[in-house]
Amino acid sequence: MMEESKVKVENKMKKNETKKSRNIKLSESIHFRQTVTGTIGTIVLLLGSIIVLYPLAWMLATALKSDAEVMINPSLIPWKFHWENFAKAWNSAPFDIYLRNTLFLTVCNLVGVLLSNTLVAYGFAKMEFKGKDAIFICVLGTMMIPGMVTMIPSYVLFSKIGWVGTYLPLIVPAFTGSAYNIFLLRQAFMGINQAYSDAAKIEGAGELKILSKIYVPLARPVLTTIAVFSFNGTWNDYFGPMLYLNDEKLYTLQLGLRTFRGTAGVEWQKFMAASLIVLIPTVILYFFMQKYIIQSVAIGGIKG
Amino acid sequence: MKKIKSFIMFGLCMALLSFALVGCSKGKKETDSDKAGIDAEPTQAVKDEKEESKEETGDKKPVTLRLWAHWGSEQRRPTIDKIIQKFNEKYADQKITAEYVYVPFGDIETKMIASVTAGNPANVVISAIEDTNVKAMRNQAMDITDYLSDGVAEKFYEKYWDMVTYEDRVYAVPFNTDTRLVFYNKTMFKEAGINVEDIKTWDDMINVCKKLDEKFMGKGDYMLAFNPVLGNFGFDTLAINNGGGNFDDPMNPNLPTANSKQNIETLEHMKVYADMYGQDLVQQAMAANAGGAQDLFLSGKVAMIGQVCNYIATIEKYNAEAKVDYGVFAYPAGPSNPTGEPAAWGGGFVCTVPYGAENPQESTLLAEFMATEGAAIWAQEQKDVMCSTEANENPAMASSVGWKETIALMENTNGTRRHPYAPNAGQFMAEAVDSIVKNYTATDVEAALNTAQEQIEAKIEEEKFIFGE
Repeated sequence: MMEESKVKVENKMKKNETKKSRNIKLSESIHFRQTVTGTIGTIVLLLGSIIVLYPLAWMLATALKSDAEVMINPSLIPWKFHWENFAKAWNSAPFDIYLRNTLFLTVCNLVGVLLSNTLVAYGFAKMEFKGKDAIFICVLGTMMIPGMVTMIPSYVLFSKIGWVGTYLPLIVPAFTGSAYNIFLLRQAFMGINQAYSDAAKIEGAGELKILSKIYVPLARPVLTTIAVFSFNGTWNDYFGPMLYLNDEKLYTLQLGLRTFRGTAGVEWQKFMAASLIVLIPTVILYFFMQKYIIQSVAIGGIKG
Repeated sequence: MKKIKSFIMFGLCMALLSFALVGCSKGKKETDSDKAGIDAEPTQAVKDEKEESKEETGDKKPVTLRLWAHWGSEQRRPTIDKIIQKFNEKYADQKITAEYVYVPFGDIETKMIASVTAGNPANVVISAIEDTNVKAMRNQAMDITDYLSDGVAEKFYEKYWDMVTYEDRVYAVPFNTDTRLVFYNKTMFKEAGINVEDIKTWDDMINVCKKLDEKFMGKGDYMLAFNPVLGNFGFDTLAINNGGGNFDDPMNPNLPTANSKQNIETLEHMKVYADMYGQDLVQQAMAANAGGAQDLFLSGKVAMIGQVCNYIATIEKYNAEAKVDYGVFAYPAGPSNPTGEPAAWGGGFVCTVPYGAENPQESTLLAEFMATEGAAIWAQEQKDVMCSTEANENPAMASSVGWKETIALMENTNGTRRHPYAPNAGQFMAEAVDSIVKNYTATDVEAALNTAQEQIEAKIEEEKFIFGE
C-alpha cells in the first residue's frame, strides 16, 4: 500500500513537474513571441517615424544651408549652419504684418466655427421641429459639392455685395456653419444623456443655458477637435486669401510664403526657414490638444 | 417620406438654379465693357475722349490703377517697385497713380479669370504670352487697340507684337521673353577633348555625350552627360528646332500636327538619350533634381543642361561654392529643320488689360509704360531678355556669359500661341513624350504621338461643340 501511494505521489510530482516545465516553456514562448512582436512593432514604428520626420529634417537642413550650398549639397547635414537664414527669411517680406493678419483671421474663424456649429448641431440633436430630418439631409448634402465648383459663383456673389478685397468672405462663412462640424457635434450631443437636460428644465433652465452649462462642457473633446481643425484650416488657407484679397497689407502668412517662389526658381533656404516658423504654432497646438482629438475620435467611433 | 423626398428635391433644384444664375450672370461685366467700348468699332467718340483726356488734365479726377504680377521675391520686388515709382512720378500731373499688388506665381490666371467674371478686375495683369489669343477669344482680355499710342508697335520685335494680336486687334503689350540654350561645363569638355564648335548635328550631341560618359561615368557625383528631359528643354524646344510643333501654324494654330514627321524624328531623338541611359539612371537624375531644390549642373551631376537664358542669373547666384566654369551654345538644328539654323521655343509675359477693367485708357498707358520704359529698367536690373528692342540694347549685359549667344538665338526663337479650342493640348503631348522618355511605359514613338493627335482632335471637337460652333 505504502509503495503504491509512494508511486502515486511520485507520478503526481512527475506530472506536476511536466506541467510546470510545459508552463515555463509556454510562458517562455509567449514572452519570446511578445518580444519578437514588440521588436517588429518598434522597427515598423521607427520606419514610419523616419518617413514622417524626414521631410521635416530636410526642411530644417535646407533652411540652414547657404545660398551657394543649397543647390549642390543634397546631404541632411549642412557644411556650415546658417541660423541667420531664419531672420533673413522673416525680414525679406512684411511677415509681422502677415502674422497679425493671420492671427486675426484665425481667431475670427475660431469664434465663428465654434458658435455657429454648436448652435446648429444642438438644434438638430435635441430640438424637435418640422422637417428636421430633411433639413439635416440638405445640410449633409453640401458636403458633396466640391469647393472648386462653387469658387467662381462665390467670388461673383461676394464681388456683387462689395466684399472682395476685404476679410469678410474669409470670416463670414465661418459663422454659417459647416456640414462636417455640425454632423460631428450632433453625434456628440446625441450621446449625452437626456436626463441631464430634463433635470435642468425642471429647475427652470432655458435651452441656451442647458447648451452652455451642460452640453458644451460634456462635448469638450469634440469642440476642441473642431477648434484645432478650424485653426489649421484658417492658418494654412492659401487659396481663399489669394482669391479675395487685393491689398498686400491684408495678406496672410501663406501668401507671404509664396514670395519665395517665382519664375526664376525658388529661394529654398528662405522658403524652408519661413515655412518652419509658420509651422511651429500648428505643431505646438497639436501636441497640447492631441489628447482631446483622440477622445473625440473615440466618442465619434462609439456613439456615431 | 414622400413629402421629405419632394422637399429635398425642391431644395436641391433651388440651390442648383441659384448657383447657375449667379455663375452665369454677366451683370456688371457687360456694363463695364460697354463703358470701355470693347466690342465696338473704333468710334469717333472713343477717339474724342482720348484727345480730351490729353488736353483736360487739369480737371481730371484722380485715377488709381492696380497692377497684378507675380514678382514678390527680394530679387524682383525692388525693381517692380522702382518701375511703379517712375510711372507715378511721370504721370503725377495727370493725377494717375499705379499701385502694385503681388499675386503668387501660378495662381494669377485663376484670380484674373475670377475677377473678370465678377466684373472687378485689376487694370493691368502680367500674364503668360502664349495664351493671349485664348484670352482675347474668351473675352478675358480687353481689346486695347484704340487706346495705344501711335507707333507703339515699332518699339517691339515683330514676332512678339504678333503674339499679342488676335484677328488684327491688340489685346496686350509684350513685356519679357526667353529662349533655351545648352549650358555646358567647360572643364569637363576640355578634359574629354571636346570642342563645342564641332557640335553641328543631333548625332554630334549623342557622340559628345558618349565621350563625356566614357570619361566621367563612375567618377565623383557624375551621373550622365545630357538628357533633354532634365532642366527646361523638353520636347517643345527640340521639336521647334526640327521644324515641328503641336499645330500647323505656331501663330494661328488650327490643325493639330502631333504625329508629324518632324515630331516623330524629335521624339525618336529623345528616345536615343532615354535608351542610352536607361530608366533607372534617368529617374535617379530626376529625383536628384528634387523638384528644383538641387542643381544638377552646378553639383557636377551632369555635364550639360538645357535651360532658359535667365539661368545665367541662377548660376551667378549659386556658383560661389561650386565654381563651375561654364559656357553656352544653341542645341544644333534637327535633320528636318528647314533653315538649318538652331532654333528654340520661347515663352514670356505680357501686360494684359483684363476685360471689364475700369479706366481702359489709363490702364493701357500703364501697360505701355511697363513694356517700354519699365522694360528698360527691368532689363538693366534683372538681366532679362525683353520684347522691346530698345530695352535689350543694354551695355551692362553685353559682357555677360551667354548674352551674345542668347541674342543670336532670339532671331530663331519662336513662341507658340495656344489653340483657342485646345489650350491644354500640351498636356496630351506631354503624356505621349513622358511615356517614352520618362516613364518608359511605351516604346513605339509613332503610336504614342498618334494617340496624342487623336486626343487633341477630340478635344477641339468637344470645345467647339461647347462654344456652339
